[in-house]
Parts: sequence; structure tokens; C-alpha cells
Amino acid sequence: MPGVLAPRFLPAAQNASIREQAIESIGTYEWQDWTKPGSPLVNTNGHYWSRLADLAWRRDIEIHLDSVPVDLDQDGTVDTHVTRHISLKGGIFANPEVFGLAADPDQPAGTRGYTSASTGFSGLRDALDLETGKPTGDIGMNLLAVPQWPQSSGRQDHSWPAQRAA
Amino acid sequence: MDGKTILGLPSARLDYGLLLATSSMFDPKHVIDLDKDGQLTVSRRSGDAPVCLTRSRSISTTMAA
Repeated sequence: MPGVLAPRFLPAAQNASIREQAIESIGTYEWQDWTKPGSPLVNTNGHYWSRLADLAWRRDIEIHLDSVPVDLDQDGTVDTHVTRHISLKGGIFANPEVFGLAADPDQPAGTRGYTSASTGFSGLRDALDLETGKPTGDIGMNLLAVPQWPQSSGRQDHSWPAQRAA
Repeated sequence: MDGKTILGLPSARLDYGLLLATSSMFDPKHVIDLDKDGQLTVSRRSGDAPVCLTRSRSISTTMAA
């Protein structure tokens, strides 16, 4: 499909183990601007969380709610009030325990795979630039514990194209 | 169990609510220009409308045109 690239089909992915494939399962790269075919490819998962939602991976976090009214059931009336104060220097990665992130001892931060680099935490990967091979800062969430495999003749085929050709 | 790290997010206990709360979308100073015309589309207004943090529709209830 034009404008969509599945990293698992990259040449560099051919030598990746199933485990590596699973760790790097962050989804496809697509044209950043679909009104401009041929625009740079970005990993949509990482781009969404890091550029559009713009989660505070590394910037300081200040969230201060003082008795904010909350309408839990959307009936137009206030059900409760929330008071919470969160001050986290260095953002999410500097405060992993607060967010429930688990460090991955097998993947120190910066460890590069074929399509992403480790953030040092399980399930969060920094998508690589397809042209330069360098981390983009587009950090996405791991999609699956098991990679999606190419289909063949309607039957799931658990081998790589190179293996099938052999 | 083979002692290896469990892959992916299942090995984490992510606080998605707090994670999403760090989004710049919820920064009162964040400007949303949906049609990229350089003009403010919506901005967050606090203190005068009920806030629902549990559903996406809440975004519209916390923002003023």
C-alpha cells in the first residue's frame, strides 16, 4: 500500500529473532502528511504519542488540581471534586515508578534494533528514522507481545520470506 | 517462567490516566489550531465547567470555543 511501510519487512528485520520482533512491535510508518504523497515516513504510533498527544516523556510535569468539579456520568451535574498535586522533574522517564514503568535490564536505553531504540523501559520504544537510522524521539507504545506475521494463501505462515524461499 | 523479561507493556503497570494527563493537550495554555489557519480553534477553560476525565467527550466540555 503506498505510503505505508511495515518495519518487519525491512531487510534489517530479516535477521531479527521472534523476541526482537515482539520487542520492536510498534507498528507501521506512514506518510506524515497524506495530502502530500511522498512526504517523510513517520512511525504513527510514536508520532501520535510524542508529537500530537505530546506526552511529557522528559519535560517537567506540573499538574495541580484544586477541588476541580468532575461529572463522572456526564449527566450535567457534579459528582465529586478532585484535588491532586503532581510535580515531577524530568518527566515520565525520570519518574518511572510513578507511572508504573518497568525497567528492561536486557535493553539499556539507546540500544538499537532494526526499527526502534530502547527507552530503557519495557513497552516504550523510540522509532528510528528510516533514512538515518537514528532515534527520532517519536516514542511509541509496544503493540503486541507477539508480532503479526505475513499471511500466505489464507494460512498463517510462521516463517520469514527468506526462509520460505530457501 | 523462564526468568526472562516479559515482553511489552504487560510487564508494566502503566498508570494510563496519569500518563495521558501529562499530554500538552491538557495544558491550560495549550492552543489547538485544528485547521492550521493560525487561529485559535479551542483552548481549555478551567474553573467554570464540569470536568469529566473519564470519556473523550469530556474534552469538549472542558474547552470553550
